[in-house]
Amino acid sequence: MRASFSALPAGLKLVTLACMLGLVILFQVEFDRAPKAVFPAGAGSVSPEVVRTVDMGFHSTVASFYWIGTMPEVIDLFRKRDEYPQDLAFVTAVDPKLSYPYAFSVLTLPAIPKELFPDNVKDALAIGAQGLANADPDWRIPYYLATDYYLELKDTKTAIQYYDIAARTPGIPDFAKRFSLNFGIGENEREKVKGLWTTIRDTTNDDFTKARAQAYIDRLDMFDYLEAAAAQYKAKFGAYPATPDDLVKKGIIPAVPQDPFGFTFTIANGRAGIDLTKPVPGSSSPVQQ
Amino acid sequence: MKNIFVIAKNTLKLEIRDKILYGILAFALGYIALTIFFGQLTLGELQMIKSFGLAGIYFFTAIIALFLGTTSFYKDVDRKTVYFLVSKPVSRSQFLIGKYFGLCLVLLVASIILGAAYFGIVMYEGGGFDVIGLLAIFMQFLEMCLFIAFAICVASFSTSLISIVFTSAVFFIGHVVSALLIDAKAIGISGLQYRLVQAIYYVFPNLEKFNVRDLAIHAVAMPFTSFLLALAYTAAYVALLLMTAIWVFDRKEI
Amino acid sequence: MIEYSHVTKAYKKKGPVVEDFSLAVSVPVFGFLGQNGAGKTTVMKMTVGLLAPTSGTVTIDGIPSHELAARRKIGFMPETPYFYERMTAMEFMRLCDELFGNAGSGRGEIYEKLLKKVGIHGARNFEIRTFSKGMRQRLGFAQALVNDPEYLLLDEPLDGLDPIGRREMKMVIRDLKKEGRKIFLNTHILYDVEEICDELGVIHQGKLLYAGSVKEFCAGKSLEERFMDTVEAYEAVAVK
Repeated sequence: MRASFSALPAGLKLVTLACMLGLVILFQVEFDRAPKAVFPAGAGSVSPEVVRTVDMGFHSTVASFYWIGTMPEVIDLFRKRDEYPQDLAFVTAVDPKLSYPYAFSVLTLPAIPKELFPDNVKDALAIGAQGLANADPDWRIPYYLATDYYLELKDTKTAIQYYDIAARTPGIPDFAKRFSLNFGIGENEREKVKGLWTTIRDTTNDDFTKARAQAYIDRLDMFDYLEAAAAQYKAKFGAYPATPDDLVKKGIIPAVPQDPFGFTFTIANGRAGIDLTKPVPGSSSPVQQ
Repeated sequence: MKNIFVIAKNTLKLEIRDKILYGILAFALGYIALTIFFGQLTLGELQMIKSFGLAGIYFFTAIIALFLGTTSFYKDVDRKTVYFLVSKPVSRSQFLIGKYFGLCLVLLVASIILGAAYFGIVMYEGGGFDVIGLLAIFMQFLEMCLFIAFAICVASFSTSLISIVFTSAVFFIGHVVSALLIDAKAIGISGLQYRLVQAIYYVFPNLEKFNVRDLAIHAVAMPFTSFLLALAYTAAYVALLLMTAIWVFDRKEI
Repeated sequence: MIEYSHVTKAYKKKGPVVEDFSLAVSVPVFGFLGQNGAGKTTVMKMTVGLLAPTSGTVTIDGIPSHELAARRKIGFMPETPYFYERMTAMEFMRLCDELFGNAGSGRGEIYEKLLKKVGIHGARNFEIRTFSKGMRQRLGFAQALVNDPEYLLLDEPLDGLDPIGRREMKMVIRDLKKEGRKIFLNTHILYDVEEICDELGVIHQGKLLYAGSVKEFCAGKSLEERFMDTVEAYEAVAVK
């Protein structure tokens, strides 16, 4: 038996081991192919409250552990197996503060085709709102929510507000922060976004929101201002200015306006923008992201 | 061949005298008794009791397997108790295999004791005789057999401490590996990277197949083919591990 | 007869521990004499199959030492024996015996007889972890006899025994010699070699410097003197 294995020359030993490994893999493949057990519908076993009682305070750990198993079920939604929502509910019940499940759901659920999962966007938004309320601050939740509102529901008004929240959430990476704060500065969107912020400012009772909206309106005005000045410059000198400083030097404007969010303005071919080579204001890293 | 039996019997006899083992078993039994308390907490929810009971058996037998697998064999070699035995007409491979089966027997005894406690409690709570629970415990035992083989394999060429760490790591990976493969596909990894993940999936011990606790809790039967394949998988993998261990151990200078 | 033919054992880092060792042993009591680290234990380990020679062969009655059949003919007592602490002496004897394929309740008498012979019969049902160093030595001796071997290989058998113990064990060795067994023992104690060995081998730095009758080796002088002479002569040559 195995005693004779010892007596084999090294080469044959290696071959034998390789054959064993081959068998192992073969059995694994066959196992994966074999029909699996079928669970009765609605088979939930443990309730989150009990888990929270016995996990010795390791809510986050236990929830994370369950979450790792839950994430792949998003793919199952494509196959009409809808365990994901209830498992997500379980995870968030065990640890409401764990932010990743919410963010992940907001991002991925709208991608499921409506034929398979009609409530995809609605659920995503509801989960996102829940996440904002309960979870630890996570920039991704408002950020993905903003994207969902903008792309799926064409609701720019809600989108810009969520982008604002995202921008103010600690931990947001620079690229996302820059994007969020400068959403809508492009020519095509600017008027519309300015209008939306104006509506928000005028309809809110909250001073903070008022001030915030005003800041957005002001800076959008600055873009308009710079572009108008550039047009004047061109009319006068025959070419567009290279930098906003040129406008000041040549006396078109008294000074370059100060961006309430701290970005540096640029003006190229008459279009106003922000300087991408400078670090995002308020970020701690000196490195451009 | 009889020598293998002699060594196995001896290993069983010796390890059963180990106080640490008793300590762990006592803890485990205490824990299983506690599951009655969980039952009260959830108003006699039987699934709860089964869930925690089986998980408890699993957890504690894993600790025993880890402890035995990494220290028992290594101690023999390190403390040279093996000198006496290997100078008898026993080959090193017989010694190693005998030790392996002896340790599996210890695990079997532990599983039986804890299983008996589990069945007792389930019956007490009105669940009748949990047949699939028996299957679940057996599958867990099978997993432990694989686990011990792994521990011995690693212990044959490194120290106790390293084998504890390494075996635990592989154990953890073995459970995550299935989810890993699905995740990889979901994220859209393809090509060489995906092949790498696949390689890991097939080469590392794939331990989720032994987890039929959910089936037991929901009283769903395990398909027979899956059961046979799990057995075959275990046999093949254990053979692979033990052969490797024998190869290394034969050449070890003691 | 135990025969060594050009046996060399070399480790990659340490170099040769035993070098071109050739010897044939067929006397009742052969003493292997050398300093600590000279290579005595290595030679013995190769004889019982615990180590394999890098080159050369070791045979016992013609059977190569690494074959399991050779081990049926021998009883081995390692230096500083380690046991399974939680076994009793009787259980340990039974384990060793079972590995020879002997089983059954009748064997118990034999274990008791052997334990009596080495003087620990009284402690036979106590766990080994309660044994003193001397008792362990004696148990090591006893288990080497369980298969009624023709050859006994003893590595420092008198180590750790008090003067009375040493005398008792020497008497046991003489009895075994009378029973017709061949004994090959390692020691670094010259006095013991003088007292009980028929032939001796002097090993130094892995090389066999002398093998033959004790009386002829001494040739009138004390063993200690002759041993030192031999070693120093070798070292003088080796340095050159």
